[in-house]
Amino acid sequence: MSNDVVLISFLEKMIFAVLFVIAAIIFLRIFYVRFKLIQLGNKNDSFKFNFKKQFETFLLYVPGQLCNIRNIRQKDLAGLAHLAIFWGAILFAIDYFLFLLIGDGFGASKIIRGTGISITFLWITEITGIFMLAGLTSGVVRRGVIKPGRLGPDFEFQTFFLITFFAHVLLLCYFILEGCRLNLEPDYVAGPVSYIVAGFFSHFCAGAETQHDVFQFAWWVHNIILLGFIVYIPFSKHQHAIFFPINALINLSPEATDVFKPVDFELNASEQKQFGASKIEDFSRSQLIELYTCAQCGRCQDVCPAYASGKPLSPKKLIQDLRKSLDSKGNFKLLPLTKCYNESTDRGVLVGENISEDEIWSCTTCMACTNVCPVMLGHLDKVMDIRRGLTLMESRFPAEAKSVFKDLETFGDPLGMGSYLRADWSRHLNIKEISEKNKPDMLLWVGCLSSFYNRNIDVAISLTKLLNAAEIDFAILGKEEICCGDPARRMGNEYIFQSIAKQNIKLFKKYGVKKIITICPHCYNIFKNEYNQFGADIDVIHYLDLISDLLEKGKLNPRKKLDETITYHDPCYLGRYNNIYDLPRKILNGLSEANIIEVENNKDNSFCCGGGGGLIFLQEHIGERINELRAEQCLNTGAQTIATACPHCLTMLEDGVKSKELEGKVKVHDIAEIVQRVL
Amino acid sequence: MKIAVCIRYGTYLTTQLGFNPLDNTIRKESLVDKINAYDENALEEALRIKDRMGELCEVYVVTVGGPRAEEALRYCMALGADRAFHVCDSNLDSSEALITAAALFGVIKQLQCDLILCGKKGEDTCRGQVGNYLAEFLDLPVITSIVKLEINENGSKAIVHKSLGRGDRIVLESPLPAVFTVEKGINTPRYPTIISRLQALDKEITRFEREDLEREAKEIINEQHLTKLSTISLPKKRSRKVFQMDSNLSAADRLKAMLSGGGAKKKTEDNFIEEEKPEKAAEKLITYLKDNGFLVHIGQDK
Amino acid sequence: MESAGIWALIETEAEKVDSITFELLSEGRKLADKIKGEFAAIAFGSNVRKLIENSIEELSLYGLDKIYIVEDDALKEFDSKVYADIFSELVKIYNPQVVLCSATSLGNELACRVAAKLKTGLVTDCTLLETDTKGQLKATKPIHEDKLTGIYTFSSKFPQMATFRPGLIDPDPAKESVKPEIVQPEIEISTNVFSAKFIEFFKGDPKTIDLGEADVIVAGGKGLDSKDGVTILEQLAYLIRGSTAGSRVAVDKGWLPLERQIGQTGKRVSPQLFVAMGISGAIQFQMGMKDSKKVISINTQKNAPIFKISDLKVVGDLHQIVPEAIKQIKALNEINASP
Repeated sequence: MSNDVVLISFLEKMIFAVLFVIAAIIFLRIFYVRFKLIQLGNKNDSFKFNFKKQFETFLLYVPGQLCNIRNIRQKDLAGLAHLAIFWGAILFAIDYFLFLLIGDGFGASKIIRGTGISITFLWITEITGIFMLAGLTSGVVRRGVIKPGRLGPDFEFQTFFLITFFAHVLLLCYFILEGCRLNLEPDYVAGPVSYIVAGFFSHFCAGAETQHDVFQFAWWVHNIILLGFIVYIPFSKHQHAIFFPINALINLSPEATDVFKPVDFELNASEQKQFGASKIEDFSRSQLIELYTCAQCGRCQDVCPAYASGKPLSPKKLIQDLRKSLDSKGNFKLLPLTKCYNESTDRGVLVGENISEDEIWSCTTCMACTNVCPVMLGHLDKVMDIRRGLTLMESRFPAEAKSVFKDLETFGDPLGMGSYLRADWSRHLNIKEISEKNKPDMLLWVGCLSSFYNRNIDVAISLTKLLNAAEIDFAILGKEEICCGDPARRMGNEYIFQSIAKQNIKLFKKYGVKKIITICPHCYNIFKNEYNQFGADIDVIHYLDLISDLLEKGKLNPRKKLDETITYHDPCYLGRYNNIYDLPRKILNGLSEANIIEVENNKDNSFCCGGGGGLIFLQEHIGERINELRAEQCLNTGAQTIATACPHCLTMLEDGVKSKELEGKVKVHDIAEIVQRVL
Repeated sequence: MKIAVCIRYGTYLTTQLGFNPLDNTIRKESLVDKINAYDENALEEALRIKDRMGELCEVYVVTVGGPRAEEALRYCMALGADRAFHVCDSNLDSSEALITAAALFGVIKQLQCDLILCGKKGEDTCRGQVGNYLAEFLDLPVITSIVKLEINENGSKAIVHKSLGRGDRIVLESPLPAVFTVEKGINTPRYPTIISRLQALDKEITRFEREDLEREAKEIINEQHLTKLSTISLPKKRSRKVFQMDSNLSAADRLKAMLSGGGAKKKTEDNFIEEEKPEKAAEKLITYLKDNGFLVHIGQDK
Repeated sequence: MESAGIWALIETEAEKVDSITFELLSEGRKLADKIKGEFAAIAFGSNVRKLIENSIEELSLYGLDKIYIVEDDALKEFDSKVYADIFSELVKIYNPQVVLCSATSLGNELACRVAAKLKTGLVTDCTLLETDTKGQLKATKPIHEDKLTGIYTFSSKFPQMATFRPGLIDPDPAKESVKPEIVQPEIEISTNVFSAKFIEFFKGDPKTIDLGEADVIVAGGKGLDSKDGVTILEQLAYLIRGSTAGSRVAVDKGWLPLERQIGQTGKRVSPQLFVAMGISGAIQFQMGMKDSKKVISINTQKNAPIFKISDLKVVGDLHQIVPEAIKQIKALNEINASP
């Protein structure tokens, strides 16, 4: 070390060390406040400590950047920049820690830098650094010039340009520092870029004096910016870089099956219990930590059908509003160090100031947001918890929902038609009804829409014809069938849902039902994934499964091929909720001369028809109609028939086609009808 | 101010198809148990008055019926009623309105209310008698079919809008106490929050047996049933002189004949019209309207 | 005293006997014939004698034996308590077997108060009245919101009371005229402190009557074709004293305001009459109006779902049929109005 040139004086290093400690304290203090704020949540967590699974998730999503890579498309290459910036940041962090902190700080620089691994590492790091610069610059261009919608509505230009400017400067300073050291320190090694910079300096800046001054200046600039970032990160959305890895390690993002948790309605007489979420503290801790993982990328907003149709709902805004709500309870002043909460008690009611009722009631529960989120944030469970709070605690819901709730309770269906008319559609069709003596292999659960809606009754009839043609032993519940309870639960009325679910489970036990086949994906989803919360244990399939099987085994024999062009609309509750994408395509492609034409937004990017979340029973007052938007997307394929496998989608898309006055030219059919047509 | 609301938890028919004319029975799947819709409107009106007046106003719900009526009372308390009274005797919720009214009277007399609200009629019995009977027993004025209710500052008078049908209304001022029966269009009933429903499960309901009722009420109840529902059947149209198209007459003469009820009697009625000429279709349409009493005002307008 | 047969209440409208009274008298006449007893009418008012005498020609065609009148200034306006007191007194004095009123607001209120006073049986809103030779009444009336009909029998207590639904039958005057005797008994008139004070009268405007309150609703849908179709709708609604409404399609196209929408609004209407023109009537629409007592539909499509729940199905073009109907009803108005 005696040969080393002293580039930075001991005093300067000490000053820097003190500043660094202060910055670190600020950094840790803010994260401590956030940690305490998360503790405000209730303890109904979904923290899972299955270490192996969590670690796998962590590796895939954090260093593996899986969610990010999934989202990289021709139209949206931003993820590439993030890969460069993220991996670059990791590499530079290791670089700083090993070479600068330990190496320089303890005078072991030469030893550490000397090895072959180190040199390879420095090379990789610096080349990644160039990509980082490219990524940062592209970010400026995107946000300043291209202005993609999802980064809005507030583009935060000033902050963004400032931060990226300083990031550019930081990287440049690093290369300058390395370049200067290469010239000033003997036997110093660095990566390729530093050599180029060093060469540049030797060429243009003559003496060691000048380079020494440049080095000192750059050192301070670099360190001030670095300290600035250390202090800035916890106050900004960049905190996601800390929270997301933690979240990935300790908290599994809710699967679709976990979003709807049962509410315990047992009430102690004196206890005022809270159902759903009315204030920010009503969320669980695992939900609150997610709020800090949001990087405000806005991909959720891009895919949200409500936002696309002009409704006030934006998943990004909602999460940010919730985060702001949580932050408003915190004390972010630096001192006193242990005081984390502020005393204000009036803020915290969720629906009111920032979040409107319209936003909450615009959600169709399509899960496109969670599906596309790079940090696996669960948006839906938060919307649903707020809906429960509104419905169960305050009876605040759209006027049309009132009659749905009352009818479900009194008549057992959301339309108020009543039990007697339930199986009316099947009266002349000779369909077996289940009874004590008459227990079939499987129960065909018809569902409310297919029992009463004119168009959906056609589908029920087609399906029963198919089942009869294949000689399947099935029966329907007939007059005893009531709603599966999906609209009640989706609209937040957990109370009615539970009473319906328990009634249905009792009925299944009464008739010894072991296997259920459903027409509607909503019924399918709720029986398969949610009824087990109440002790049900049944095998549930959607009819597509059975039809596909029958076609394959030759029990259903199509006589002819379809001669029209078909496109397929993926229902949310079959696709995103239950990963059924290939089955319907297999069926349709098998029946058709040509393959089906895919809609632009298909499979897990399918655009909702607008009927989920109970919204098929409500009115859309704001903006455009979601079903009309989706109908337009399907019509743009030029197909003569739009196929689907859900009664909600069928109703909504037909409505959409009608509103475009194309009902003669384009047909909307369910797959059961299509199959039945070609037999 | 004390308001009593009479509630009926009964069994109602959802569809005519549930009636089997072969054995004159009603299929149980076409029946639902619920609170009479008009009574829900009455309770909502009382609760709205309570919303305005706050602590000064108490709303009581009274029902006559078997044990299952308790569910309805708890629902009403979840909506906001302060106290519930249950005459727990299913024989008293009878097809004879006088007895039901007497049982209600037996409780309400003891409550000393300023206002009594009922639904205009029951959706099953379609009588509209209980409100009027109650008024007579309590010796109070009664106004039926109200669509708007306003109480004055000190609760001594009420301004009501009474529906005369076809949207016509008269505005009346009535002293209080009084009995009003409400029409469906008066308001839209609220939905109780689940938390209030759970809390209502523990609230107290005051039960009355027959012996606990007012003496006068008991006397009426002990009388025999004055009327009894003996059979149920599908509605039959009364045959009336239906205008027969006589194309020899001029249009004006045909119309005159239709008005005076001229023409032969017809047993069955056409309920399907598909005519080439719109004039004929229109004539048949108007005949139908007249036959069903929807043109009684003809000539009185303008 | 021997039972004095069948009694019917005369209702008046603008200083004349209300036309619905003649329907009641026709029905009562049948009962009187069966028991071979006296058939009498009752009338109250401040100027009732003159009123009866002015209408005596017409009243004489209904086989009345007597008309009991009570005349006093205190009876100028209907007051249920005062009228009920007098009515019960008369019944106690003369002991009729059956007492009938029209099932109007006045008739129902009065009949109820009298029945409560006398603690006797009453069945309201009857569509058919029958009796045996002893005067045991059998009353048929709609139940379950007109979906079914019930037949009520009475105990042996007299009088047996019923109110009869107006507008159901045509008056059935006899060929010969028999002038009834006018009897004016001495009755003490009680003065009631609690009369309701009349303040004002609102006539219903089809465009503004709340749909929940309306007795008659005339609704239009896609078949209206344009905003011009609404004019036809409004004219018909005006003529049959109904309220205008529209299906979701009509409201979406801006032909009718949102408050007038039927179906998918959560609001249920239950009028006496629902006229649906140019509406196909999918279940979402039916949800909002299936409780209507009578449904008339006009549609060009024979298989429109609305026809399944219609009482009168008209297959045709509303743009031709309805203007015709409007023309004819207007003509009827002229005929009826002219003296």
